[in-house]
Amino acid sequence: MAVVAMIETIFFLSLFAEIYVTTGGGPGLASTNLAYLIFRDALFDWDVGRASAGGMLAIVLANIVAFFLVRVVGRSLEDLP
Amino acid sequence: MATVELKNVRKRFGPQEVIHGVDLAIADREFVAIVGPSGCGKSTLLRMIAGLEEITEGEVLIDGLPVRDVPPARRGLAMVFQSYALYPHMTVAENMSFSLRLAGVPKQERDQKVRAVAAILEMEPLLDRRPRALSGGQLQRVAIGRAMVRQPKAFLLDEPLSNLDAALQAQMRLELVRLHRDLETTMIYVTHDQVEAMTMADRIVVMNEGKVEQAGSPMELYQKPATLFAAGFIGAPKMNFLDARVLDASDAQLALTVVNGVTVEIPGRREAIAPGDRVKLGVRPEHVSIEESGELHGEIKVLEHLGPRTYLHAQLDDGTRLVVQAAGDTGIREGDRPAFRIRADACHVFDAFGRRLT
Amino acid sequence: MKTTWRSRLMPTLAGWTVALAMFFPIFWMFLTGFKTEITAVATPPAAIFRPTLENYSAVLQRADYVQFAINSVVVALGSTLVALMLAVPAAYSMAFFPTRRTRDILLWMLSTKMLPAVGVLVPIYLLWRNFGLLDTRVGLVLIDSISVLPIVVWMLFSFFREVPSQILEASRMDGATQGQELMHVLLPLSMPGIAATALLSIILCWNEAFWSLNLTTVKAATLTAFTASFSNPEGLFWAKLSAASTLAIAPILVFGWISQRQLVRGLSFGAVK
Repeated sequence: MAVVAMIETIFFLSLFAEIYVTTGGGPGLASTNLAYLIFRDALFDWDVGRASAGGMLAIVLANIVAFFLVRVVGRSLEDLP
Repeated sequence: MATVELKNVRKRFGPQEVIHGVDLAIADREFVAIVGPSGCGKSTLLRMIAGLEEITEGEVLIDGLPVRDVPPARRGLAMVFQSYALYPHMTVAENMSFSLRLAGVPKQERDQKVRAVAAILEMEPLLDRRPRALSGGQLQRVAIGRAMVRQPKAFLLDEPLSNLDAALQAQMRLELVRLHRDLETTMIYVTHDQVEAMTMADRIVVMNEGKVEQAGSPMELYQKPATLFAAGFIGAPKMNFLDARVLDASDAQLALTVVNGVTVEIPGRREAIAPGDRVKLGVRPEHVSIEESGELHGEIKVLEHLGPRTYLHAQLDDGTRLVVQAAGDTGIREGDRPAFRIRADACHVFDAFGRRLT
Repeated sequence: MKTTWRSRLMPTLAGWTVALAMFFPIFWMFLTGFKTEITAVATPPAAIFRPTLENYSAVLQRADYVQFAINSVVVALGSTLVALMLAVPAAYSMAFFPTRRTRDILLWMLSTKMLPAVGVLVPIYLLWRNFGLLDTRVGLVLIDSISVLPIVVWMLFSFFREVPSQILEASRMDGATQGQELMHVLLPLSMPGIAATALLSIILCWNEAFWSLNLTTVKAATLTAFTASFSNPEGLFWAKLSAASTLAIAPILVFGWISQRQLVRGLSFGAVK
């Protein structure tokens, strides 16, 4: 259960294509998530600095969840030297 | 045909040493059985000879040439694995001819050799089958056949019979002996079953905890075990061991007190022994008999009826266990309290370190 | 323990409900592809309508459908091939010659999969631009094979470990070099696992949208980008979008259906480890 929740969390954090196709982040910024925001900053506004900062934030967020997930998966590898 | 020599071979896994300096010389065409309990290092030793494990220290020589840097395939050996290790995706014929195929032998010659071996092992009808369609005994034959096709200098067998049922084991033991005689090739056979070793080998090497306890012919090991461990390992049921203390040592005999102050006099001179020393007295079940004038007393706890023989498991008055061999139709019963006599000239004496006293 | 039909009823109902719920949007999309634009957005939603093929013809008339379809195929197969070529030696080394660090490396590989792609959008975009890889199939194959590599390595690793080591030792005794051992024994024995891994990789690359949208425009885009292109600032052409989507997923749907047994087998093996 926990593993599924963690995997899904990581997946949803980076949800992108659906927003791109359907709402384009709008109206305004109403349906923009972090991923779409970074995309827009980088490729529409060409604000590479802001996009990179956003990218770092996304990584940190995912890392927090990934840390726990890796620990759980790591247990199944106990038999390696 | 080949000689195999091991000189001060050691094996370490990381900091842990598992084989402590083994010396062994195997003559051409000899059938040598390496026996020992689980974990004694016998399989590791075999794998080092085969080239599947690295030799940490020491030398392994095949026909006088060191093989430390020679890959397994070029040592001229063939191995029969405990789990047979057949290739599941190939037919029996392909399994057997695989080594020839890798060596570039043309198809016709390959088929010829495979058929020749199949004829010897009486397994021609199996040639087109896959391993999953074979029984345990048939798989064993294929594994042996695969080794035979290579016409190796020596065969290495790693507990090949341990996955078979008792009847098949007995049958295969005879077949392997016959095969050894017909092929006239060195065979190095690893097993934990001392019956296999005793019945099949020209020489037996007893190992324990990474060291060789004793190496010699089956009869030598049975009649003159060099260590306490070897004495207890060879022979079933196990040799009886009684704690004893030296009373007096003379040129003619050794007097010991055992159990409850009973004195036993053993003929023959023994070296390096003084009165008061603690020793162990070993006597095999067939050298103990039930006699009214016997020195030892105890109660029969369990009887094992084998048909031609009966083994009596007794507990002596001081708590020591004793196994006695009796006739199959003996009238002794559970709970009886007979007297036991041990045959003094058939006794073995071991010092406090487990070494045989001569 | 006897299972009465009563005790099986609830799980069965639950299973069917979930399955229908998951399948329904796809089914609706399939239907919508045959509606006119007006019918498509009608409220209440129309279940009964007169089917039309005007959307499909409009979609197919766009010159780039075939182009993008080919791109999808090329990128999916290409990435899988590249990933396999890199992963087989890696998994071989980790499965049969593990060291103290092997476990850490495997976990690290897995963790890269947890990285949200947006995090590296900027650097990858800039790198690809500087190397002239934007809007090229090569560029897409490169990023897709990197994306899918951790999964491929993991799955191959677990399949390789299932091959009994004594069989490989036997081949060594028979005279096989490392290459021969790989070719004649290991690969044939782990072929079902490799096939399942390849199938999964193809499906993942086919569905890959993020990089396809961001790194390609007109020449190398895949069907995922094609589908997305039916959205524009004025609103969505729902009917055409549905038709385009159906065309985009049709090949992979058929592919997945044909190979479902291998997929299930492969995925469950990988997971149980």
